[in-house]
Amino acid sequence: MVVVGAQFLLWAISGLYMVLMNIHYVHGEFLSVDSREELIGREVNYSFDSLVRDNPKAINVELTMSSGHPIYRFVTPQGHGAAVDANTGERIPPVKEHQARQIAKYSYAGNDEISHVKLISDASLKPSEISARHLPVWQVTFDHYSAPTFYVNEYTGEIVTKRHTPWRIFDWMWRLHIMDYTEGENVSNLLFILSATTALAAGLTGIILLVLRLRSDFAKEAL
Amino acid sequence: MSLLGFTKSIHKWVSIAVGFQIMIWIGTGGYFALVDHHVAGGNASKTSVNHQGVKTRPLIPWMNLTGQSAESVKLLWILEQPYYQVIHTKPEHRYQKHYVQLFNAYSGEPFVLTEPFVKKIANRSYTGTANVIAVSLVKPPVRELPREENAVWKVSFDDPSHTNVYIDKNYGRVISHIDDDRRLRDLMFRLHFMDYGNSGSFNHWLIVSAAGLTLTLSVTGIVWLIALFKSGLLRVPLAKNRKQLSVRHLASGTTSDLALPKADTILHGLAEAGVFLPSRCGGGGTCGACKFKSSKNLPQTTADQDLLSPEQLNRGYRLACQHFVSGIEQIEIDAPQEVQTYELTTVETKFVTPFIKEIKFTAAGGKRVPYRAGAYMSFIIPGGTNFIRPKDLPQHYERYWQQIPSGTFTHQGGVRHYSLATYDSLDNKLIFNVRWQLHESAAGLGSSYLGALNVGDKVIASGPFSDFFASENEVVRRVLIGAGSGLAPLRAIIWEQVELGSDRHETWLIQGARNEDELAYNEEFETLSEEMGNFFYLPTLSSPSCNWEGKQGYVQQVILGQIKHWLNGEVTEFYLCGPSKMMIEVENILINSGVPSELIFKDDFSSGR
Ligand SMILES: Cc1cc2nc3c(=O)[nH]c(=O)nc-3n(C[C@H](O)[C@H](O)[C@H](O)COP(=O)(O)OP(=O)(O)OC[C@H]3O[C@@H](n4cnc5c(N)ncnc54)[C@H](O)[C@@H]3O)c2cc1C
Ligand code: FES
Repeated sequence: MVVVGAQFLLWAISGLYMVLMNIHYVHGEFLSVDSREELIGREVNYSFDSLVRDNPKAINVELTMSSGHPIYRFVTPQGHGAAVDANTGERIPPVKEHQARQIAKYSYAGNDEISHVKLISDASLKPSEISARHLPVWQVTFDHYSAPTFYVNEYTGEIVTKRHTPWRIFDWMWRLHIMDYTEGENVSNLLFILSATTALAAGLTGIILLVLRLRSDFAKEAL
Repeated sequence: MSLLGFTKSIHKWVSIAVGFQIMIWIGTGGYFALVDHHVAGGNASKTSVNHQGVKTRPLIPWMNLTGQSAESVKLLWILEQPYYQVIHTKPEHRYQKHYVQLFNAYSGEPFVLTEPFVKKIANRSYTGTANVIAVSLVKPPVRELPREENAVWKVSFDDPSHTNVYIDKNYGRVISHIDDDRRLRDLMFRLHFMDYGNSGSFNHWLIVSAAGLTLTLSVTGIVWLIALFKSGLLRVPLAKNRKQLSVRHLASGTTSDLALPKADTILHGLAEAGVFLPSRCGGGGTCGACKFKSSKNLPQTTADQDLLSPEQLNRGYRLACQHFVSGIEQIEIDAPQEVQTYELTTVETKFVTPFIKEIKFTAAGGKRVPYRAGAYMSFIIPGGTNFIRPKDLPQHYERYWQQIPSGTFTHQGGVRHYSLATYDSLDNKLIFNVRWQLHESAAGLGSSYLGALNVGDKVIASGPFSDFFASENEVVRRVLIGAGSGLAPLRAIIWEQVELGSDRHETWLIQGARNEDELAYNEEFETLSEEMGNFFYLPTLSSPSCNWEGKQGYVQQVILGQIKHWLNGEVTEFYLCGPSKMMIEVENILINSGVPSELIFKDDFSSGR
């Protein structure tokens, strides 16, 4: 009973947090400025046709603007991102730290300073908040109490994902909610099933007690 | 109300408000834990479609297209053919509204996904053997994809799980397979998210309020649990260790040593040994009947404090359902050593008011049933079918019963308590007043069962239990206040006092009723008050006929009128029995007038189960 009681409290707290926080806010959509830019066609001197000729196995080829210049982004057969200058057709070398800073700063909606930057390329050292398919990335963290963090892909310069404290808390709440105290993705763990069953029993007995109680309250009035 | 009391009542009310949704949450949560997510996601017959092809001709430069501005351009392969996807605005999520155009990347001609394409894509993504039966373009809102803001293609397959394959019209990509498994999962999500308007979202006020209430419920529940633990009422049961307990019976002056299970409450431990303390709430800590006295200074639980007076607490009284055998060596109890079970035979039954029946029994074998005035017995009501209306209703009460339907209802049976309505030491008859309880669809199971007994019928009852009785204190007067069937124990006490022949003190009866018909035993009391100089009878009617000459109004008013006289420096005891509301109001009046709570005795019928 006590154990279920504690879990009930955790469910209630985590559930309340998750429904109270607007999901778009949690996802940090407000963190980046609307940096949509029109494609500047006259700067594109290297065509799709050439790109596909030079990289026949490229997938998800996209022509887009990056820091004011048109570039092609695609995924290589090895599964990592790549970027090509749309003017010259040259591979864009991996993003350096100062470029990563620039890219993050450019799209960050606030005006806080960057507090630290770190390159993450080894999947075993990655923080749990990003997925391995985003590697390698520059982790750029801003100096703000909600620790907004932009992840910039080293090969493409693309901001692949972002995080801030409300989102990190949301992830924790989710784990508490599904009672996965290890990984955060497994809804069917044994602990959860056990508690759900006990909780169901507890809830049912609670409702039975309540009904009995209400009936005896009616009896008082009817004497 | 104490803080804990307040917490408990918040807990109860909140549980009414969200109890149902909590069950839904637990139930759907259980579903999510047990279900195979791959299948529930609608993926049973889904496979990924590879559209990638090989360029066979030169691609036309994208700038040659209709020359519109764009945010980005993608080279998109659909069924091995290349297309330019010109993106004007791309939202954060795929399901949000997007502005996109497709062009054939060889010819530069605008391209729109049409039915044959859609069908081919759907077939590739579908691993089952069934055929397509319908293809249509669905505008939002799409019932099965609640968040979708774009038009989508829907391809329906003729399979037992009613698979629909949804395809994005701007990408040619499969969004989802929606089959019966997936529909069930989506329903579970909607229930879990309280998304009763099908918005696909969980950020709405309904669920926020329910979640807030649930948090309140958990917190109050935990506060309550902690309080129970502190008071030692909750503990992990270990082996049934027994312990010797010395029990002194005040009634007989004898002492017996009983071996009781340590982990039991005193109430249950004694019951196991055949010693039944009075209890109406069955050990719930709400009736206050199960008193015992200990010489050792025991801790006080909140129930002790709520139901016993400070004086009783000081003298060592506690509630037996609130303390454990393990903490105690020696106790004193004021209960019959053994409770008897009797087979009673109905000897007479009649209506004394429109709703109250007087029923007389004798015990089998002419056994005498000793009891103190004010006692009650517990009747075993067997499960079965009862009539809603009585069969023997006298003609002149018919008008009170006009609204009541005829017919029957079935019930499980149970135990119901009824007070002995008379003090009858010579005659062996046991007399009860049973008020026929009614509600919309049926009648009270116990009262309608007893009410329907015919002469000769038998019932089983145990007792008598005595926790409401005239004190043996030297008092100047006893004021009995009652209404309805609550008159039963009071009538017994009156006759007891009469029989004791005492003229040392006064006995008053304040009887409330609606009208003359409902005033039970009126004539009997009138006669008695004429014969006995120290019996005062004050009936009062709330809606009397025009012939009524007595008091009009509620008992509360009569009491307010008399209280000064009664409290004139003399010791007056008050005995209350009647509807809860009346008892509460009368008690408040008395307390506010300065009557100490030890001088107020209550027989609360609603404290039973
Ligand atoms: C110590 C003690 C002494 C008592 N002495 C007497 C006595 O002398 N005389 C007497 O008449 N009673 C007495 N009672 C009360 C008695 O024990 C019963 O509680 C009472 O008769 C009702 O029991 P029942 O089985 O008829 O009704 P129940 O079936 O238990 O129902 C209880 C009440 O709820 C109502 N109800 C039940 N189901 C529903 C429903 N589905 N919807 C709406 N309402 C519903 C019923 O109408 C009734 O009012 C005493 C109680 C105690 C604790
Ligand atoms: S049995 Fe102990 S208070 Fe009711």
